[in-house]
Amino acid sequence: MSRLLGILYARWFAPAPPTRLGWIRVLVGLFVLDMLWRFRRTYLRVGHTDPEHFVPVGIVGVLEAPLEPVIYLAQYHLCLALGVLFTIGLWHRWVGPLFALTLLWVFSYRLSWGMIYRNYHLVALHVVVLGLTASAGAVSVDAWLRRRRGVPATSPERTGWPVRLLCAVTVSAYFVAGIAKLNGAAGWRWALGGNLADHIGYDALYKELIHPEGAGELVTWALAHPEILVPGAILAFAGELLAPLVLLHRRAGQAWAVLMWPMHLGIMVLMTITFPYQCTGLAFASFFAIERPLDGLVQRVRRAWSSASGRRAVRPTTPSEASS
Amino acid sequence: MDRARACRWLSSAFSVLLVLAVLSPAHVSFSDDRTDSFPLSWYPMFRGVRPAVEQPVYVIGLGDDGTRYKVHYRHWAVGGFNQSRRQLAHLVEQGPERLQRACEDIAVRIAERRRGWRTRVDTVRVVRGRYSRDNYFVRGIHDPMEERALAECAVTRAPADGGAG
Repeated sequence: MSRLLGILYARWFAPAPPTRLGWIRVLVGLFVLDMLWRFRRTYLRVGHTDPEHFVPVGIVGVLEAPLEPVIYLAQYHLCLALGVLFTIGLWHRWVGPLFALTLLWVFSYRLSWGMIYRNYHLVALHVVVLGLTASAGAVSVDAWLRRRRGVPATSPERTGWPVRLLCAVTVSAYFVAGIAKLNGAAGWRWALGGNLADHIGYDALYKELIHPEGAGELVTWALAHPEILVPGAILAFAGELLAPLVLLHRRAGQAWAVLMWPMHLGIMVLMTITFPYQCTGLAFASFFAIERPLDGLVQRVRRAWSSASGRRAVRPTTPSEASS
Repeated sequence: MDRARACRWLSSAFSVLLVLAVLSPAHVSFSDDRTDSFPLSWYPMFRGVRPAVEQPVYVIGLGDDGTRYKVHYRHWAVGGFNQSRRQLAHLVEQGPERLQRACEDIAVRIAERRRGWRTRVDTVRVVRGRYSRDNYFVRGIHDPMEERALAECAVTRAPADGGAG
């Protein structure tokens, strides 16, 4: 038993390049900023909703009544400002936890009006991990300042386990969804596709009745041919229930991420329910060595920049410059 | 205990606690408690089996010639489509008086519009319909099997500003 724990411990704390966690922080930070900015009208207007619809969730549960809209407005802008600092990696020791907490608050308040949208969960959990770990050890202003001061860089031993924790949180969330399906009234029948078709049909019917754009032709076609949903239903169900096993091997995790990604694309196309964090692939970034292409890109940009600067420095003087 | 060792213990504790927290809502699907939360969810939308005949609540507008218009969700809610659907269902649960007030609010918003289909709407009606999904999507029958009015109100428009002179 102690040997097994020893192996797990060693694997969990195996080093990983600090740039991997750093790039994940940058990408997730940019994603959150985009999410906050693009839907700012909704965030700002939701505070004006009829208080009768207020059903506080998560950490907003401490409230008994909605906040004054102007207070939520201030919190939203604070979150946005902290998000910028988080993304560039400045004062991360303080900004990271504060941003995680503020984002949880802003998201929770946004979702406290009768509907908890599922596309907020994973990104919020990932920000908690990134905010409370050494994710600004590289690709950050903090790292640049440390280099200038001659302070040693963040050790790869401190940046391996947060990446694994991001993976563990991701698969755990999918596993819980799988358990909900298994314990629901349909149970294993989820894998047959009928229940999936019924849920898609329910959503599509409501869209036909209250959504300005309706359900779309593709979903109508898919509901008329429900057999095409069976492979997707099997893939989703198996992918959710077996999710924790993929932590056992890096390649298994990558294969799982590659298989789960089209599931979200399918949901987007059929149900017009977009899970942007999953569809962009960011939710699964921690399963891959994303620092390799990104570091390579930075190196190429640097080389191009320095060669361009070099050319400028050795540019021969023209006759007009010489005569002046 | 040296600093590195202490950091590892702290990191282990944080990792275990966070993963357990994410997994913890799974127990709700075994119990009668159906409350959901954020960011720790048990994904309750996967719990049920949908009936073959759905009974959605929605809003329609009626013209003076009896033409039906779909009144979309942005007329009564802020936020996304699903939130609006929930809020309408919540209004129904709160009783006919509250629903009537909501209906009147929708009518006021429609009356404010000066262009498009809304100008032709004279009555707003909150209804509960009965729809067979197969009829709707497979057989192409888009009329409800049954439709019951839950609240109704007239759209009262202020006289249009006349440009004198």
